[in-house]
Amino acid sequence: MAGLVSMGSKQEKFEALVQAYSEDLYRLAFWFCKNHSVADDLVQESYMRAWKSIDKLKDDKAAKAWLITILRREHARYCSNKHTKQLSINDIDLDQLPAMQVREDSTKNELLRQALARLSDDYRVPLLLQVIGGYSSEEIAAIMNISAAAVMTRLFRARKKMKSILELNSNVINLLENQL
Amino acid sequence: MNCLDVCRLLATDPEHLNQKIEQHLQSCTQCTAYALQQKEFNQGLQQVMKIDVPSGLKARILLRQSIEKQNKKRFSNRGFFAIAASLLVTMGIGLTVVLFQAAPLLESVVLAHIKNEVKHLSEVKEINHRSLNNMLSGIQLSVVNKPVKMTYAGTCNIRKQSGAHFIVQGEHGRVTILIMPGEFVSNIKRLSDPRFNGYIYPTSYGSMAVVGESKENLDRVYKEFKMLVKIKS
Repeated sequence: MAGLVSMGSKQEKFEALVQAYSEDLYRLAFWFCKNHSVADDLVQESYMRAWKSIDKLKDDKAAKAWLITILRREHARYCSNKHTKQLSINDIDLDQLPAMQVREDSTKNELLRQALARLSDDYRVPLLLQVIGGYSSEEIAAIMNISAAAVMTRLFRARKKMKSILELNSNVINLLENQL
Repeated sequence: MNCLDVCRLLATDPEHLNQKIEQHLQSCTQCTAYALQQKEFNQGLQQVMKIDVPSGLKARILLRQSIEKQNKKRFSNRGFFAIAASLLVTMGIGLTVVLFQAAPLLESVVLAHIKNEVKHLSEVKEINHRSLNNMLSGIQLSVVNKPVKMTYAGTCNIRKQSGAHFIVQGEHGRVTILIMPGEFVSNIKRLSDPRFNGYIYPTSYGSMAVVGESKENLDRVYKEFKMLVKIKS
């Protein structure tokens, strides 16, 4: 009986994790790998790993950070296997980004998206955790296992880099418009 | 807290403002303007990062987990022979997974096939209902009617076995339909490609890929062909 009860609560806990965090996890996964199919696989694999070790999750408040850590490991695992080497992500992803976005977007958003895709993982990951995850610098530091000061530096530089890419692109667009 | 400190924090995290920053902003118009600028930039980031999540993701995760759970239960609740049997099952599943991983993904195969046969997209063939069914009889398929705007029909090999390759004129260009008997998929799969937009739909005989231009209503084409194509028992 006790086993059944605990099994039931374990199942409920897992379902709650799927309901609450799978969408955010998918968005993070997408921006990690910049490919919808791979993101889908990464999220499914992460949840399977989470299910296997769900008993280790004692604090529900830490659930999202725990899942993100699993996702990051899963992504690292994916990157180290042969599929990634064959795909050559840097070439594919930027081309895929505009085509995969269904809604009509402004030029600014398009530039922003491309600037985000061009950021290195060191800068992009804390920014994603901040914007998608809603985490503070201290929480990101705990997830990434680096100091809060390092997180703040990376966030500052990430935003600065993105702004400079945006400004540069806007200037080029203005220049081209003036010439036409 | 001076303007420099406030701006530094705003440039790092404009959404988590502490009391000291709030107080400073009340008395400093320059920093308030900067804070608004940063928040606007952050909203742009949020909008860009919030990509569409494919439908059925949650259901897929829960389905995989239930299979995982069943396998685990079977393994732990039986005796020696059951364990041995489970081991064999697990090895079988493992082997299947290995074989499945070794084989290219169906999505990649479909896209590669369409790109390889891209010349058909510009062809206009004379196709009648009878000749269409003659051609399809070899692969145990038939069509109830010929679609009005069909421009190409052929048979082709897609990974496991022979299937049908149709092209119809859609509202926004040509639409390719691949009928793939034996290629079972658990749910609708999206095809990601800079040029083509498409889905692989599960069917009773395997799956059907519908690929067209980004504005095309592919669900409509899928429904039409679902009614149209029949498999011979």
